[in-house]
Amino acid sequence: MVRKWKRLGHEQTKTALLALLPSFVVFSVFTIYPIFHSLYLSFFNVSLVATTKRYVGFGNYTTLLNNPTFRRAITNTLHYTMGVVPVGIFLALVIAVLLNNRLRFLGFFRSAFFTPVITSMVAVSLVWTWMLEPNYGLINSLLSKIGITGPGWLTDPKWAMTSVIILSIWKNLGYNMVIFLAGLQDIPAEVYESAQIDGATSIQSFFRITIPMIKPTLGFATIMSIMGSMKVFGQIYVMTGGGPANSTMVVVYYLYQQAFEFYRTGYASAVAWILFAVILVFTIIQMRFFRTDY
Amino acid sequence: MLKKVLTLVLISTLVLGMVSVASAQVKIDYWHYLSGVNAEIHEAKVAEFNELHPDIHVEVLYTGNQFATRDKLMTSVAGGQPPHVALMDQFWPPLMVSTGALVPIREFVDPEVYFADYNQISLDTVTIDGEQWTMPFSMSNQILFYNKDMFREVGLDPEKPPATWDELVEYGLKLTRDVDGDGKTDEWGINFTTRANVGAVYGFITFLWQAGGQIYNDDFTAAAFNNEAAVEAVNFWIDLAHKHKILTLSPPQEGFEVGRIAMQVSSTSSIAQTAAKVDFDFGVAPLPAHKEKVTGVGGSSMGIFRTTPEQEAAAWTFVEWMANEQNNLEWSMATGYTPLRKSVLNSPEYAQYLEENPYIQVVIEQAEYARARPNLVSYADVSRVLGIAVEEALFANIDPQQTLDNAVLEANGYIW
Repeated sequence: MVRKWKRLGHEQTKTALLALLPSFVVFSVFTIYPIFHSLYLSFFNVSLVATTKRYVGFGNYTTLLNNPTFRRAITNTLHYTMGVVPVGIFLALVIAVLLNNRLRFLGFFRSAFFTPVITSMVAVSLVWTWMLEPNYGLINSLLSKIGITGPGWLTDPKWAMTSVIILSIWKNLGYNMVIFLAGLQDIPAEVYESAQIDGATSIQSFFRITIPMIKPTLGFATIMSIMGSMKVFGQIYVMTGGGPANSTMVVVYYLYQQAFEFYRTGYASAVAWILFAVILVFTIIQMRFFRTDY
Repeated sequence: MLKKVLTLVLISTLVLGMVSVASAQVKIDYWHYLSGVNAEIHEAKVAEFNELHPDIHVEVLYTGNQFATRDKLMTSVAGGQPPHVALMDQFWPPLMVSTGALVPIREFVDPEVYFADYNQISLDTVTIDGEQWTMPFSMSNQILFYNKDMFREVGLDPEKPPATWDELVEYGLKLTRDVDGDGKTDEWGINFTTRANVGAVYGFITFLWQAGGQIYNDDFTAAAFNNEAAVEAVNFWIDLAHKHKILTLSPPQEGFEVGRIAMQVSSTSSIAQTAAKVDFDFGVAPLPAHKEKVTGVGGSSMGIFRTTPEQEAAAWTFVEWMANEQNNLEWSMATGYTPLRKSVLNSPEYAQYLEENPYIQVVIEQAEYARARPNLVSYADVSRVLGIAVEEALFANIDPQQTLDNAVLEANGYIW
């Protein structure tokens, strides 16, 4: 401890701290302070525009947990996560393995899959809204060519969540793909060679070599995807507004609605902290699950 | 060299600053949410005001559609940095008043005298607890647009639009057709907004009133939209969509304008825009009635925010000018909005305009039984809850009683 403090006194450390100070101030004011302030606000009945606030203890939390719409938002968020993460991870892994080979137009394919990731969510959601339009939309027009009457993708409560899930998988595919590619390229070629000499088939080497070797990468991608899915907002905001009939009401959209449509700042802060707790628990469980012992 | 440049910049800034102080021009920020043709007309008016008033400069800013503008406005009020003037939808002022952000009209003029020329209904939309807080600017009511060509095609009299709910269904059944014979409907009888997040509740409340229902009880202490009348209204919507199948829940975009929707519940504020867009024989009719003959009123008003006395005075000059007789007349004739002033309604210019645009006559007739929604702080929450309940019953095709009962319970949590 003493040694640490001494080291802080070093000329270099001082300079480093000084250099960090400006960004740390900004970070504190705009990130750290709001985070803890929202925890404080979550114990009050306070409106965005009102001047008074009333202490309610855990009142916001108990109201929330009994609210049917919030419960619906929780189950919808889990539904969304279960829809997006396994399929998304699986597809990304398959594509990464394919693109890890020496293919023609490799660069083209890699950029093609990555482009959606860097495109704005709002722009993507608008384009998909048009494609999913039930009467003249591209998707239903194509389906009708092969004799299928497409559903009202975003207007039918039975289909709306599925539509959002499809879009989200497509949008995030490239991100996980790049992570997996990096993981795959870290595996030394010799391992595969010796397996080949021992007579392993390519399927065997995939399950016995590739999967174990990229387990940390797989873990990272899964944790990030689950965290991202729990926080889904942009596509819901643009495409469905939580509807129809609350079928796509997710936690962050609920939070947004409470905070910026109903101006219930305290209540919305409580939503944020419940979401934080849920994500924290999920992440701890996963970190245990994906822990590697080298 | 750099020093010299900097000095020069500094001096010129100071000089420019002094010039503007010398002319004592008051700068006013004005936010609005109008779009399309209406925005062009509106912004041209602001430019005209600036030309006529060299001592005031109004900086006009489009702040996104209604929903985006409302969010920005509330945030700016919360942050203590509102614009000087904003165009507001009917339901924003109650909340703003509760925060003390608005300046009431009585600080500028005597409302009794000043508003003597205004229609009662337009005053109702800006009156909160007996006091006018904002300046009425435009007023619309809900109306039925219909496609006379489509009426002729199915043998309906284009001069006899449906007058009752039953006729609406009867006409709708004839007008809903599978034109290309592929087994799928491609022309629908009737359409209106059914999604809660884009304001379906505004239309629903009119149907609720027509069925004899109410949003609140008589003394506004509780929500009352779960009685027999409310259930009947929701069931009517459900029947239109699921039993008669003349209302599609996935309407084609701009379906009415392209001739795939025969009748559309719309607002008088879009008469001019729609008439300009369509190439068929366009008709405008009063909304079909049920137990009661009533239509909903929508509209906007201009609010002045608490700033400095000098800026508030300049803001009033601007607001008063925008809503004066001549400008209200021009605005009404250019857009289809209902005139707010009796003098405008009875002016010879407007009479001539009505003669040239007979369908606007309908608007004026309807204004007689138009009804304003209650101006309460809780209305935004209560109506939102109602809208979601109706959407739920309609889209999931479930019995409305239970859904409405739950919604009333939830809505009562917002009323105190």
